[in-house]
Amino acid sequence: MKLQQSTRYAIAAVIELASRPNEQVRAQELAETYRISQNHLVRILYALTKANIVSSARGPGGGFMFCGSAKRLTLYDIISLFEANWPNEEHRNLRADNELTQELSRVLHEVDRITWATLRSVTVQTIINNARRASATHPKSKILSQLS
Amino acid sequence: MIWRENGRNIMKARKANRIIGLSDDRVRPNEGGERHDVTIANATPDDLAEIIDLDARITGFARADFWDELFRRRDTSDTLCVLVATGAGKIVGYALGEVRSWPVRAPPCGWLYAIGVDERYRLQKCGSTLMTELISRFKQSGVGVIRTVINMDDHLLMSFLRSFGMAAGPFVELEMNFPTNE
Repeated sequence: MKLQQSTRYAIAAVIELASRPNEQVRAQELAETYRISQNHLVRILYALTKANIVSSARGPGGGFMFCGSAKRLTLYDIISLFEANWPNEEHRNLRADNELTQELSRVLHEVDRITWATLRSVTVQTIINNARRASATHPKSKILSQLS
Repeated sequence: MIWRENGRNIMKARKANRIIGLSDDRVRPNEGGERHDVTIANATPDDLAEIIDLDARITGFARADFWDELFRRRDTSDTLCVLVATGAGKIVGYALGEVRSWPVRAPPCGWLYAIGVDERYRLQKCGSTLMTELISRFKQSGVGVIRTVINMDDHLLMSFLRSFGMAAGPFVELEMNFPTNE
């Protein structure tokens, strides 16, 4: 699945902010964490603010804070916010005027359905919880020691 | 609710229940509702009628034969587990699972056949408690994997199961329509 850079940054920002509830996080810190352009990130954060997923506060101690419902907000919701004309079924552009293109279209639609169902069922909270479970099962130090 | 603005999709908070980015099919009826105490136990034959009724209300179709057969089979099976959640003297949730092998090259695992909670008892950890107890029973039976097959469009149930850490496994369900001889 190919997502725009903005979409991927938006997902990362939302998950990071949601994992730190009631905390104002500066855009600079987020940009440094994910090694991305701060200007680009701020534009994304303001789009998320407009969608009532993130709130912003100016001044010292200000920053961005997750204000949505992590248990309800899905990856599908975030992606459809940033990807123009999404979800689009590219295979619909195929001219289904013979059996071969019709069958190809059917297979591509099958792939799309699985993708959408997966994205609709994964909430921000699920990602955070699963990451914490994985971290508890395989602590970083353990993973690092295995790699070294 | 999602609407378009300046060529972009922008999500609008549902003012009624302050749910953000929630598709209509994921609205939960008991949002902000009162809390109820529930207890989890093995189902008894006396529970059968209530389970069938609750299952029909949740799934939208009655399947008395399915439950009858399961209860009969449970009498001779050590690995079939039917759990019920009871609140205020009524059955408000159920979970059905079994440890069994499968006609593919895989060791026995715990199968989740069905799980459901009365709308009024959702968002109160009732489903989570049923699921946790079922997994505990599977663990006691010596298996370390739980599997299920669900409708791809049942986003609510899929979200619930994913919140437990369930994800796509190594198998995929395939099917085909064919004409019958009738």
